[in-house]
Amino acid sequence: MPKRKDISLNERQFILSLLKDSQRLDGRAIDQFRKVDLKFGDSLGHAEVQLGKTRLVVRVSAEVSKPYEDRPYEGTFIITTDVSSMASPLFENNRSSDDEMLMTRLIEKAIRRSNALDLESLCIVAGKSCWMIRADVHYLSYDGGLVDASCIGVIAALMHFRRPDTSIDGDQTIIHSVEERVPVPLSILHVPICVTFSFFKVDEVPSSTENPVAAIPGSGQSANGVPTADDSAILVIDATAQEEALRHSELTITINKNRDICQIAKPGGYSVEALTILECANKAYKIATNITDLIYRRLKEDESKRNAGNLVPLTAENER
Amino acid sequence: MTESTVILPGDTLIDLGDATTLGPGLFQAPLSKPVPVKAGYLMRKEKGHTGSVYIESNSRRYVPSVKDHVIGVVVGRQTEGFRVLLQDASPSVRLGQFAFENANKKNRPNLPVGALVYGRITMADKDIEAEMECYDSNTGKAAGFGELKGGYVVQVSLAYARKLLFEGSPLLSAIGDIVPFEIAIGMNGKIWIDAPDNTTIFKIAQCIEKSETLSEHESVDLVSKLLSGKKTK
Amino acid sequence: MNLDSTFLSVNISVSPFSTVDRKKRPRNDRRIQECAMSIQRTFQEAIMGHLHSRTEIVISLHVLAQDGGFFAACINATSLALIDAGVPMYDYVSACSTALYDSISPLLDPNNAEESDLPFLTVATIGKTEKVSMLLLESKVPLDRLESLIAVTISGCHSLRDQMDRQVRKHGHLRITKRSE
Repeated sequence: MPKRKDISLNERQFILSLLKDSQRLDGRAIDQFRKVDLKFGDSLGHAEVQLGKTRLVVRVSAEVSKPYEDRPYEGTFIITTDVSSMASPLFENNRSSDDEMLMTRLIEKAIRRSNALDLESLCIVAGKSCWMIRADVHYLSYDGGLVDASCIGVIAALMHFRRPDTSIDGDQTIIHSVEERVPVPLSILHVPICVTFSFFKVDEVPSSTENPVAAIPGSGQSANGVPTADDSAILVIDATAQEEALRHSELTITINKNRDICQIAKPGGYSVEALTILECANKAYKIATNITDLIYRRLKEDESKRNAGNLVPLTAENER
Repeated sequence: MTESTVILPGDTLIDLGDATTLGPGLFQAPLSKPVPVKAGYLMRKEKGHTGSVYIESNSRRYVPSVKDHVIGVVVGRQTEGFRVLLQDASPSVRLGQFAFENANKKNRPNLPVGALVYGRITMADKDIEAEMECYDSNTGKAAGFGELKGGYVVQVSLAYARKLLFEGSPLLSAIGDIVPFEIAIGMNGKIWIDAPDNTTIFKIAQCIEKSETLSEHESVDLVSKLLSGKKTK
Repeated sequence: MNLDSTFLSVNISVSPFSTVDRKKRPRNDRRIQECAMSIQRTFQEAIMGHLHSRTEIVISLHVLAQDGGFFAACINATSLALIDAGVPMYDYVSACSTALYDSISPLLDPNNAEESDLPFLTVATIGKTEKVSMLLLESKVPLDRLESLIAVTISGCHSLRDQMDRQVRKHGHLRITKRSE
């Protein structure tokens, strides 16, 4: 973030001592994810996510374009994440800081690189035309957890979106309007969910006399197989903006319901016991399952609302 | 005596009288009548034969004005003083190193970056950096100002902070009936709280933050709900 | 910016001839930038920054040839360069990558061909601990395979640390003998 949130020593002390007692300012447990509020808009592919005070809107759109030369059988998919000062005065417009760059990369890796969207199904004529899917993420308010919230938003919006149907007549590609043919849902291969863990050092800033590496040998209390063996770090799930500003390192795990880890990123910072990371991955799996279920539930609710007037539910899916 | 009406920017004001002082939200160009520049309640205060008029409206952004009591974070140290931030991502104000009780060339205050100070705005011109002080410059006494140690700070809207500071609220006395606590309210929307233990601070902070959108008796109920079983006396 | 500590800045430049197909890479490649940031954050914890406050250390990495383990090699090179430059550090930072072959067997230090077909993970540790300073995984791995992958990678890091230590000592010894002549 361009300008760091300036947090007074008093607040820092207070938040850290609360965390030490496993308490948090918003009354959550330290390993509790905030309640996810997911809503869909009137148009298809419009999702709104609220995670505590963090809010964002994702809009998915599609247009016909030319595939990349090296990938003639695939459509294109772009995610734009532009954190503006709309979200918080801490962000500057049109300038992305290092942290924002990391965030964009993370979302891209979580959804695009993990092949959540089947790009081959977006091909219309190989090498000539394909669908270009765009997901624009707009941040409305910031209170930590941007990566987690964006990931939920993008994937939910993709699942909600319907693209116009196409057919090929000789050399011509016909794009059928919504009135003409029922629009087709995108083919989503899996639902990746990001969970961010924050780590706090228990003893603040090591004094120059002691050697932190020597003081935390792997053979210490940690080796006796206790799951929460890491006495030197406090693990916090889904940090708020304040906690994000104070944390010593972070770890983002992207996982789906099929127990596939799509991505893990721990970009340096305070070291964490390997066992803790495994423990985090298991916690992430549980959270991801809950969130995936929530997304499906909300999609179903939206579907039934849309089909309320119809006798037969409109669908373009093939009966398989 | 106060009275209030809703007013919008550009509304014409009925005669205010000559001896009226204009407060925030009103602007008067020379040789013309005062016009409101903010939406809110027009508040009129009469004291004897002089009165003052201002517009009460809520906002989150704080613009320093003279004599405001504020709470800020030290963000920088310079040769002749400190830089204090009153709100996130806003220009900082100056705090002179002699603007403390008993401060002189030999005895300078030593505040670390990140320290919390309670003080008063002494200069707030549009085009110059604002300045603040941490003592009463008339008497040279601390007058309750200075560094705030320990505790926690909550950020609330400006109108709520003003309400707590000027009108008071049964909320604070309700908390005080259950647990002893210290509080400092800054007009910049920062409220500092200290109590004997962390859990109490945390609960008081929650009471104050949540009561912003609650009615008075609801907030008193909230206090008894959150702080019950905390009775120390 | 923290004035009580050393400021690290990392630049990575990848030569166009570093891969089989000559390609001009844009300067602001996100992957490279991410890599540079991770290196910066990893070493910020490993160096004794408080000994050189108000100082900037610039680390320039030039990648001449790529055959897998790009990120790990960058970290190991940085570690050795900092030691050679005499920057006080708590311990060696060693990094290593492991691919997962056939969704079952871990494959230590994969080459370019292996990396392009298999999921792989890179880990950096500071000294010989079980603590992970940096971890990067960019492709799909089953949750139940993560443990063995990390374990193999960490042991790879430890072995690399020993190798680096041997080389550093050898080099130091060589310098001393040259000076005393």
